[in-house]
Amino acid sequence: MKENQHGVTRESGLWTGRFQAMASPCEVLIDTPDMAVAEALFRRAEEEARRIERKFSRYRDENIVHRINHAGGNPIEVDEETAYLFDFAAACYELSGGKFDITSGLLRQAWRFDGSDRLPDPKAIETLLPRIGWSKVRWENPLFTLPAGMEIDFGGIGKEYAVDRTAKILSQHLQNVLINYGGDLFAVGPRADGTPWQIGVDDPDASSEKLVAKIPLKQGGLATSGDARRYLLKDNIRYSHILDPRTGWPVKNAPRSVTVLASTCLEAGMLATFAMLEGSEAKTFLEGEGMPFWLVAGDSAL
Amino acid sequence: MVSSLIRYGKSVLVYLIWAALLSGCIAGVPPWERDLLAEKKMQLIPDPAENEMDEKIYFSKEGTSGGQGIGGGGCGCN
Amino acid sequence: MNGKKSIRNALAVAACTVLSQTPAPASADEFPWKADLSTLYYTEKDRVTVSESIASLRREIGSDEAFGLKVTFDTISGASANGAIFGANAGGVQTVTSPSGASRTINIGGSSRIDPLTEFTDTHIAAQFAFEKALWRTLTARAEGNLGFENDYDSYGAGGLLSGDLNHRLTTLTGGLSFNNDTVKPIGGTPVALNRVSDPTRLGLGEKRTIDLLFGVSQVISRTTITQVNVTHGMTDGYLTDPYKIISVVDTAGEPVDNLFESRPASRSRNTLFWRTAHHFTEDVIHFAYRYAWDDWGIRSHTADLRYRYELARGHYLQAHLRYYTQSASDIYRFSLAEGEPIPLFVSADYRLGNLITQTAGLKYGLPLGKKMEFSVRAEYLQQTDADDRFPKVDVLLVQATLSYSDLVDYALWSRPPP
Repeated sequence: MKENQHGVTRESGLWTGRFQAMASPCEVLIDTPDMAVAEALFRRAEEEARRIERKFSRYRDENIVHRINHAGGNPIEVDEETAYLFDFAAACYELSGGKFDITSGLLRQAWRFDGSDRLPDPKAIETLLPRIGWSKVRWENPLFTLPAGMEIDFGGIGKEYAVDRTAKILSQHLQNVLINYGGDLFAVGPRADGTPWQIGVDDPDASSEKLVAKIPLKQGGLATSGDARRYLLKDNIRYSHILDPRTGWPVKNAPRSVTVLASTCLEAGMLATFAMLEGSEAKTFLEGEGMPFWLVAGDSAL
Repeated sequence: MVSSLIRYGKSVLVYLIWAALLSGCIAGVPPWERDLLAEKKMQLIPDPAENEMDEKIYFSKEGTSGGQGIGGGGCGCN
Repeated sequence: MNGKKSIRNALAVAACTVLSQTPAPASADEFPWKADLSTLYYTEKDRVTVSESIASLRREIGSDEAFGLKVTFDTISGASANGAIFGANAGGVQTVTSPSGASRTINIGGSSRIDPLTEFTDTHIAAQFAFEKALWRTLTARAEGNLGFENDYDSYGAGGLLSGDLNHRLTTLTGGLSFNNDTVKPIGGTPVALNRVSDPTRLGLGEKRTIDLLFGVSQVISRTTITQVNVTHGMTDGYLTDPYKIISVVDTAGEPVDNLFESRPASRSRNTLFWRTAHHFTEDVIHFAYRYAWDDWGIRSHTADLRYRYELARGHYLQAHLRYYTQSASDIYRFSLAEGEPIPLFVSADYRLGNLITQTAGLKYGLPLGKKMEFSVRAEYLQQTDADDRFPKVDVLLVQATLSYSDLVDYALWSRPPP
């Protein structure tokens, strides 16, 4: 099989296309005998992922996020798609009791989760907190006003959103597709022969050799939230990269990894994130919600 | 006979318009199900060049014209 | 636990809402051009030959503006019916050809006749500039300007359309207004109406002004069906007479004894009711349109137009086209005038104002050339007949080839029915 740099390749009976976007490896599995169809769908998928990355990445300087973050407190008129995401972010903020907040990205200035034991200076966090909080922004569709000095970041939503959007687009053409953008997945439908996709859940510690679970997935979204290789360890306390925006500090006793199955990838991703934010109550929270989940408990004695 | 047919045709047309408007409100087609509608061949004017030539030909060969749109410039052919 | 459960449900609803919106506005690095190149060859049996080309370009500017330019060039040559009657006693001669540009008098068997066909050649060049802008989320405006020049005709026009989407963009309302100012400038000037063809007084140029109004509704009915209803009203005033058309005065034997230039009213009000629907059979597509048109000159017409696109393998397709048009004659239409009768104020023998039927059948073949390019060629045959069986039928053959560059699927439309 001739391998072209961006196209699909035939791997174990499937067309597989890979690319790098949103700081993650992205993969689309397409179960069809027709290479041209697979190629076209893959290109469409990549196009959509890159579009979302371009539009919503905090690291680009010619997009709506950049305009808002540099508006100096002035209202910015946003397009319809951005408006929908703000509505969604607002809903997540409320549903999580303020624990999920797209304005909390500034905390990254203080926290570096590199596996070391360098905890930030509590004063640095204190000075950041006044510039964090969804309740301080003014969102009156289509005008978004962000107080000067604050920042928004769609990082907690973007990948899941990209997965669902790609799925919607590809589903018009073929059902036997699995989308995996950096561990956030959506199965548009089962494999061509009707059997489920087999999804391995990676152990957050092991270097991807050991699987925590093998999940058969026919249709739906699957997302994992975890702190694999993104944590700080000091005095036997593991500081997860899941930060509580209300305190600026990591959530205590958060699970190492939570995987949730739901009807969309966004829903699965948010539930997994909310569960992490619940800390030691994660399992109770997930059980209360009643959808399938896989949890790797935290081990503070590590 | 003919006039009653025309009258009948008109009432059918009125019914169709209402049915169209109402069904739009009730059923709805969510955006992600508008894939077929988005195809070029499904546009109201799928081939503008063909449409324009036809419009011009029939404009110059018949006593009545138009209906699809307006403007487009006059010609001495009629 | 009830309170907690609501988180999941509320999230599901919120996620569904986010995903219900606009997939894929055209991404910035896509080539933002659309282009059509088309050429038509049109020939009437023993009459006019037209060759026409259109080049049209459209450029998206960002996601909410677009600019369009269209240039049309055509040449017409041949003979067109002028309304005169040749008469039966013409020694078997049906027509005569000559390179002149106006109607001719021919002497046959001692009497003079007007050739019922006027020979002419003309070139026509026209340009259209259009600008479209999204004024607000669901409101789009289009402004256009038109210029057209022929040897004996100039046209200047401008217009605007406003479209608004309603009902989750399942319904689109469109309102439009256009103006046209045309000048008719035949060589030597416009003949005074009802003057003798042999010795007319000629005046200067003829001017006419047109205003057209449009109101339309398009509606997505289902995943596979879309429909549209338009109502248009047009008003034209000024010189509406055709300076080349003639009406014969005939004696009781039907032989022409005199020929006059025609005369039309100085205003005309036109109306149309137009309905179109398209249905997708997930492969094949059918387009159907019906139009009822009427005006204050007394013409009523019905048009039915059907196009069925049959998909072949690998993006190739065949499209069949059938069209039927029937009109009742205008109040001013007369095949000829009787010798001695008082001449009406307005009268025309132009067959296009008569009881007319047009039937068309055509076939088109299209094939993709790569991802965004498509080539198609069609051939159509149309025949015009007189319901009164007086003027000779007109047979037309046309062939059109088109090269089109655009997205075959407009992803941006996934949230929006077309205008």
